[in-house]
Amino acid sequence: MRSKIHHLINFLNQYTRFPVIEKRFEEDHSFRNAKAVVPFFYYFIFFIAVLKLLELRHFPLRGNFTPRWPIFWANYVDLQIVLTIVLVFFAFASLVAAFFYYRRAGRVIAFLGIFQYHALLSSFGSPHHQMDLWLWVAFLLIFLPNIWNEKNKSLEEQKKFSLVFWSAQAFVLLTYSMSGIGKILGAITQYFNGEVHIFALNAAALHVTSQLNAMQSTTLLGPLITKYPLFGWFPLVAIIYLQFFAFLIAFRPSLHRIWALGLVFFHVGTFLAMDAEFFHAIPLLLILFFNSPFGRLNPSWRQIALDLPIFGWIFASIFKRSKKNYLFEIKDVI
Amino acid sequence: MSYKLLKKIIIFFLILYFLIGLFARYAKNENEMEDIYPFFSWFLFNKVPQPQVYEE
Repeated sequence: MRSKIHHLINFLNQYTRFPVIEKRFEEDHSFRNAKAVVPFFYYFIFFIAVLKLLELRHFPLRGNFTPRWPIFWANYVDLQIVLTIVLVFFAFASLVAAFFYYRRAGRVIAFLGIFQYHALLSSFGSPHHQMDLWLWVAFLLIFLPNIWNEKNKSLEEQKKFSLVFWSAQAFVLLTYSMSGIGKILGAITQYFNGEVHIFALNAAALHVTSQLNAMQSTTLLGPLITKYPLFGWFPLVAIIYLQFFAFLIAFRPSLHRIWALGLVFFHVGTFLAMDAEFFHAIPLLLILFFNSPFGRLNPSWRQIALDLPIFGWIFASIFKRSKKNYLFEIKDVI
Repeated sequence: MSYKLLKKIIIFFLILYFLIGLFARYAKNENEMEDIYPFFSWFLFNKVPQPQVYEE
């Protein structure tokens, strides 16, 4: 029994070694950059919370109010009072975290504020996913080591700090990959059902038309894609590529910035094409990835090309014929 | 907590989130809304609306 546990531990150790990204965790500038970026997460959360105070005037009620478990106390209080408490607490909690981001207690309070607000939004029928990413990132950042004071910094603590920051990045990218996986699974199902699937040339046009009909709205790019479906086909395939492989990019720091840029274009594009707004994710992409602590501001284009999913594997096999040394080993890809 | 243990916990959390999201998506009947709060499958726009749907 003991040897089986030992084998399991060895197996897990083998598949939880991520040499490329973990080398970055050991670098001092990665830790310093991560430490510099974290406060901006809380500054922006406070900005969102302050804007949400405008909802005190008119909260968007989307259905019957059935409190989710985090706001179980709302069952005993008038709805208007619940709205006031949650919105004001959200603003207060995020202000505390914006000021005391270097204290775990501050980060915990921010999480509680976001959680209460998120639960409130989700208590009117269907869950509201706009704030999902902020909620879970706020949860993960609670576990940052308290080494804001340089005196407390050991290499182990520094690596843990970078690891927790990276976990926030990985989580955000995981959600995009889950969306990409859903699209691939949907495509497989629809293909074998003889239906139009997401890789069909008119798939984007069908999505756009259906969404605009449902929303009873029109968009800047909607009519163009509906009339000329091919205009939407390539962006849609690019979106599937961006989403499906997003989680892999967490392990490839050279692609952090460019992948986040692609995802920002994705969010803006889907709004301009089909009135599907998910803008709350954009600031998170900017904060966590545009100045990723683990990337380089100017990585070599060859490194980027070799790190690309699928294309990188093709390029690497081509380079292998002419060069003995890779920029990285294939086995270090994951 | 050591770095190695923290890493394993984080990986476990990511896998758990993924699995619960899948469970939320597929454990429900088609008529039930996917909902294991606060988890989510992120299966948005995963099926293409068929032409006869919007022509009606």
